[in-house]
Amino acid sequence: MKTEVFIRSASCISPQQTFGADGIPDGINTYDGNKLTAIEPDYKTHLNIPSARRMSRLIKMGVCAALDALKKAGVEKPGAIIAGTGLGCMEDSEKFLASLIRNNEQTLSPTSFIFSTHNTVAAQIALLLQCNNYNFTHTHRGLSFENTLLDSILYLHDNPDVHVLAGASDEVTETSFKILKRLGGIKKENISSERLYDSASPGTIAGEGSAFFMLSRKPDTANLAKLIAVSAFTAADDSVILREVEKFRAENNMTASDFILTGINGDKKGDEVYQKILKEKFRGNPAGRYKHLCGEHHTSTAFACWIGSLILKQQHIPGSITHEGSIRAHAPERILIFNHYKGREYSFILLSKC
Amino acid sequence: MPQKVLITGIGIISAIGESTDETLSSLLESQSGINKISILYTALAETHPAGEVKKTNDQLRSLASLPEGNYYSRTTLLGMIAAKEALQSAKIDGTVGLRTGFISATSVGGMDRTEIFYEDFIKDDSLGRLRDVVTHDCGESTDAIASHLGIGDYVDTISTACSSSANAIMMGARMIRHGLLDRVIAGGTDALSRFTLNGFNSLMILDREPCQPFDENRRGLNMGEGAGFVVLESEKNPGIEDKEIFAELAGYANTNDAYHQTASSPDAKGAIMAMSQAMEMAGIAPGQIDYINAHGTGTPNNDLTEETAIQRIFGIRIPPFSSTKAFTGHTLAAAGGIEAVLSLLAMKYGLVYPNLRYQTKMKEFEMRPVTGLIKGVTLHHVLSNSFGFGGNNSSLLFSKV
Repeated sequence: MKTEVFIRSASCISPQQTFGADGIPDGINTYDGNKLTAIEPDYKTHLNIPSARRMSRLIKMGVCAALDALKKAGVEKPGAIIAGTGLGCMEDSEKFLASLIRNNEQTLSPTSFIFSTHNTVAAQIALLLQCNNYNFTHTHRGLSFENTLLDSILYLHDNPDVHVLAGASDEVTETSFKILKRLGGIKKENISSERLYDSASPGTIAGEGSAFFMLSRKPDTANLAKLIAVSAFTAADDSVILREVEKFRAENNMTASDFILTGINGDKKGDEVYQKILKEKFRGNPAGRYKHLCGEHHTSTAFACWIGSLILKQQHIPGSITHEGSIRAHAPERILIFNHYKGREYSFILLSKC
Repeated sequence: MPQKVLITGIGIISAIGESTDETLSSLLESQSGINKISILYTALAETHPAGEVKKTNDQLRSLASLPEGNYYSRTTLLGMIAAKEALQSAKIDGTVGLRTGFISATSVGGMDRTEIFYEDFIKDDSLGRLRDVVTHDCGESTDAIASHLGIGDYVDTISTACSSSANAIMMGARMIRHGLLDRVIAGGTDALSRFTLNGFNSLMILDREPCQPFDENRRGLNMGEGAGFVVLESEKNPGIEDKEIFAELAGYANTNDAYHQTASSPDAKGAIMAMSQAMEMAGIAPGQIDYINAHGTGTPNNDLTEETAIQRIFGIRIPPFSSTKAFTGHTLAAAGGIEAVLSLLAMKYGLVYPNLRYQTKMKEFEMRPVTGLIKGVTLHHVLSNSFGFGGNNSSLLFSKV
């Protein structure tokens, strides 16, 4: 869908030093063990509220990033709160499940159940802000963030004078990581995250994080970037994928100067389609990768959107995301985030300079 | 002027019927589906009745005409049956050049299988069959159903606890009104699981007897399971004049109570806003509402909040209202979809359903729900409420066309 929505502010908690940073950090944090863990802020400072004690990591990350985006935008109460998550509150779900099995369904504590529902991040934000407005949570796998953006765009079209607080969060726990490994999605060999793209083997590395954005229809010199198109589809067939890419290219008048930020994740088979599309549809375009910074998870495009917004505002592409051997881009006008999750869910998010 | 959103198909499965026809029979006979749990293996089966669909997963698979050998979660199976019925009911066969979306909702997805995996996994990391864990995430059942039905223009899953499928229907309507889709199958599905049964039990809001919504002596809710889907179409779709139009989705609203993670506010702010805004959108005055299909879980908290909201909005002219959860149990994320279908059936057949097992009026208010089935009424405008954890309050308003 084409649109013109401004990204007024953005906040990101990730395995990199992104929280509270005005720009993408120059130094990269690298991780071994095929799992990237989010660097959480000091919650005593940034989330100094009584209810934080009972919140799991995911909820704290989501609420913290959301409140930070709100503060940066100077908005007190958003017109809507829309969140996305692929797996929701894993920690709380695991806790409650383990407890019910171990105790044979007797005398269970409700706390982890209460906080396990997928809409908890959005709900807790509303509670803290005393915001009675529209509150949705999208949980559709690798398109959870994209559907969140689409929902936000629709909301802003109907309510052009408000701000929408939109974002996504996902976490990886010890248990979910073990299961991911058993499912074959993780590299068998132990690699350092900065060498992710050198390993021509199956699997990727797991990651997590939360990114929130303040969206509006109002021009403002403080706006970071513009969201001008979002598109998503489910496909497994190369010809369908190529057709959709071509359609998106044409509809959005894409040119060779658009920067393509891809979700290449080091999985040999899964990355083939990116190589094919870059070669056939975006030959000559500068391109970059981001998953060595945040790891693979359902809502990684929220992280990519944070990077994209800052790149467009600061007109600088950090070395950490440049694709080797490609044309180096300077001061990009537009960034296309192009990602797929497990070769089934595909998305395009097109951002432009304000 | 955004185009009208019309409902051309419905599909449902719950403890009171595996199809629309069976459901209607149960409603007409005031036959509740709350019984002893016999399919789900749980320590609470002896003590906590529920609205369980009396079919094993294998039987559901057969009912859904799905091939053997594939591993479907119970949530997917229930959803598949209801979604297929909705499509058939709307006479949709393949694509006719119309952009079609599938928006589902669930609270715990394939948890019915995940908890089986976990029983073994918790003893040893290498144990547990992977086939039981691949259906875990909320979007999996949506994906399985959408792929099977060949719907791919837009696929989404909403998860906002007990208001989820009402919100899925809302999302579908918005996509149509914005001209992004021509039709949407929208609703939700949830299967009974030890996780949710025990979750609600730990909150001490389950009833050990068949529930009594809005009764002064109500004790809590009964869990339920099932799926409900509607087919939403733009009034401009070619061929729409040949279809049965159940109603127009004339109004809807989603608000947040912002009071507590699980309890609803004493002043019913969120509920009042949701119902009022839905009516405002439809341009309907409270006096024009002919029936409210209430959220009415049977918990002390919800039912008080809901009657508070009804009193505030409708004043001295309280419309007929009832909770069909006394028939089906609380089907969690599927509730909005199931109850939308029940509301539409009420409009089609001119019925107002009884609020089963109601005996004593709540002391706080004078109002009473409908206690005997009413037939032969014309329902022009029906309001359906779904209020979920996290203060998520949704109301849908259906208007006769």
